[in-house]
Amino acid sequence: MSWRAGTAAGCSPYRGRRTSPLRGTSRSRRHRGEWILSLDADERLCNAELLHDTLLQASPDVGGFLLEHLSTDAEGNRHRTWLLRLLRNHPHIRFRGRIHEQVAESIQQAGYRICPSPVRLVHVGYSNVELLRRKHERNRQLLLQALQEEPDSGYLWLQYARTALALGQAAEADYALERAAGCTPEESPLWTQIRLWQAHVALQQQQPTAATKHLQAVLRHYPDHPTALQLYAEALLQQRNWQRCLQAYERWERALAQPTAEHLLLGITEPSAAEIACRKAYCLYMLGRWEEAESLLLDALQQAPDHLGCRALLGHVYLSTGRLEHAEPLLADLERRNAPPTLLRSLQQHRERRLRARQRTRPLLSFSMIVRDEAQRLPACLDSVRDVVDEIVIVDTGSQDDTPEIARRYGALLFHVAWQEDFAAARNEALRHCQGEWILYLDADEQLAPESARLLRNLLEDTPEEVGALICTIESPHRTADGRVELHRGAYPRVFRNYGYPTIRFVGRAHEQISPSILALGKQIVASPLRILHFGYDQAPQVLQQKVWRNYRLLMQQVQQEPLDAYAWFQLGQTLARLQFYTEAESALRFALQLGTLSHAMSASAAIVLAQLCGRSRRIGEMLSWAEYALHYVPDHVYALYLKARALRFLGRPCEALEALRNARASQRVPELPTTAAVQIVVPEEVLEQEERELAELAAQECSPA
Amino acid sequence: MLLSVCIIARNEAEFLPECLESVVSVADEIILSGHRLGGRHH
Repeated sequence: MSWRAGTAAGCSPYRGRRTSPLRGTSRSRRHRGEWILSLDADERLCNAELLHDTLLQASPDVGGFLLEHLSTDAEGNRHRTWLLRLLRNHPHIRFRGRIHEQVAESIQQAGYRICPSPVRLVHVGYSNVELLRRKHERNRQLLLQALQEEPDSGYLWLQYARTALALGQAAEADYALERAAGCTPEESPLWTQIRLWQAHVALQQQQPTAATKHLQAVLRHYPDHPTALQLYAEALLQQRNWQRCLQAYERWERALAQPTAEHLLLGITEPSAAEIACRKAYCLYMLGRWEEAESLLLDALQQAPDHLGCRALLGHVYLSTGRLEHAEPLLADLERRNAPPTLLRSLQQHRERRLRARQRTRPLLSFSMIVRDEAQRLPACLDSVRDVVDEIVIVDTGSQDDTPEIARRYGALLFHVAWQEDFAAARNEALRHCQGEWILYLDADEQLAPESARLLRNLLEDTPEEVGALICTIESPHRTADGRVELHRGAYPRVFRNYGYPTIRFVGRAHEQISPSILALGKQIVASPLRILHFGYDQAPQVLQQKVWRNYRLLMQQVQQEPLDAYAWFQLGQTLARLQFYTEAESALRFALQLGTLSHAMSASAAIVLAQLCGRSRRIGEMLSWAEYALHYVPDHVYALYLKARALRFLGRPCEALEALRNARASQRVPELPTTAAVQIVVPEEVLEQEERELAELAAQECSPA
Repeated sequence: MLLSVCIIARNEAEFLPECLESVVSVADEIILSGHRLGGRHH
């Protein structure tokens, strides 16, 4: 064992510091070993005996070993990457670069290969914030010098961006990343890293859409890249898309369990198990799956009792499920531990809301409906809500059967009004009698899904003041003209705050809406996990046909009264299409769109019906335009993507069709929680699968070189 | 001689002992490089 100290002679501090021990010195003078291990002072070798064995067993064609490098950041995330630090002592194997030096190329040029090893280094340094800042500042200066010599090095620009980020200079990082991307060939490992950092910066600037673009590019090449999946999940989190976010976190967890060599070379971040649990639990919490969130958090806290995020979220779960007495000690404990202010504040505010709710004198929830001759279906509907509502208000518009009898049996407040060919008027009559702070309404052929019923009261207690209505997903099987059954997934605000009639009221003779009066109050209408099951379309075709004619009549009256009501024109168009007046349907829908007042979601729906109508009369070019029009408003609309694929196939463009169809399948797999009223037609998975198979064959013929 | 370990250190005296300890059993020689090793008044 010999000891020597050397200095990098004649150089400015750190100029090629890792290079200097290797550079231009004869092996016999400076390094006598066959192998060189290069370490920083703040690193530790973990397994010396494995290192020894690795070298003894090294094959003669190996020029360098990758060592696993671990470091832990202030938040407890573990960064894991492979670094080339164990090198054969060979005159041509040299580090190059002033900083963030690289050696791989020289190993390959010297005719050797690089091999992974089980040897592990741990980075311990820089718990001292000031020291760390000085190190970054120094690196920034070195990188600036290096960039003057090599202004087209993507690698240096990337490192510069990372250093700028560490110093809190986001704009500079952004610029550096753009430069880096500009001089790096696409799809190289470096390009991947640049895209990941670009996504990271975009997320810091709260631009999830921009981040998603970078991440999708990376995921196309590395479908299970852990960092890409993690950032993707965070983008979905910013978009409040909890369902997909949860799925991305689960994919991320699986990918972390089995990192590939490629991933390790790029470097991955492994948060603690508690951190992963906390993120998944947050999605579950937002989806109203409180029991699952709770058990996940309790498990995580057994392993890591000090994880503040998990503790705070558990407090929210307790509050949301009405267990204030469980939440209090958690809150006190977080205050004692000096938890971050944002964490504390949101929990405190949540507790305030629950305390106020306890002092409420009004009933929480009224259930309201209008009925006529619904004796058959009414009991199932009322059974689905009776345990969760405080009162049932029913307006009967002239039943001949046992409907009133059944309503009374369920303890409903029953009112009779004459039918005036106006759905809004009838619903408003029911609204007038509701005492609850919230109102839920269903039709007799609908039922509240059991899991939503369990969730409902707690969800309402938890909803902030500025929210005026919750969007529910309504799932209904529809029978098409040719006798098939398709599933429609509608999204409508069916639960709303009772601001008192007529401040809040329905409008529209048919397809009546509550949203306009809520929006007029400046209140928000937000997504919710509530689900309603609709059975109406199981009825006999003639009964259905009668309903369509009735709607036609009402809508005609509506547009005569209010010719600029775009929503009524849109519904009229749909109704005309159902009655097979295709030309008239098209005119009505076009007019609805021309009025320009439909919501994005409804514009997309109108364009989709137009695409279908064009398709049926074989105007394929127009069909494609309308599908694309719909996608302009709702970019991942499944049915619009499906129609686009169909149109492109007819037009003999199978490659593009295949891409559209794959996007449709990806969107359908995890439906988003709708944030505005909308209708999605659910194309059966087997139909999409069959279509994709056929398109893949066509595309293979098309795209393969002749 | 099988293995030379080279450690890059600069004013990092607080870290160095543990770093050296972690390699001392496997290194045949240890080379320290960096400026003014241990000099805190650089």
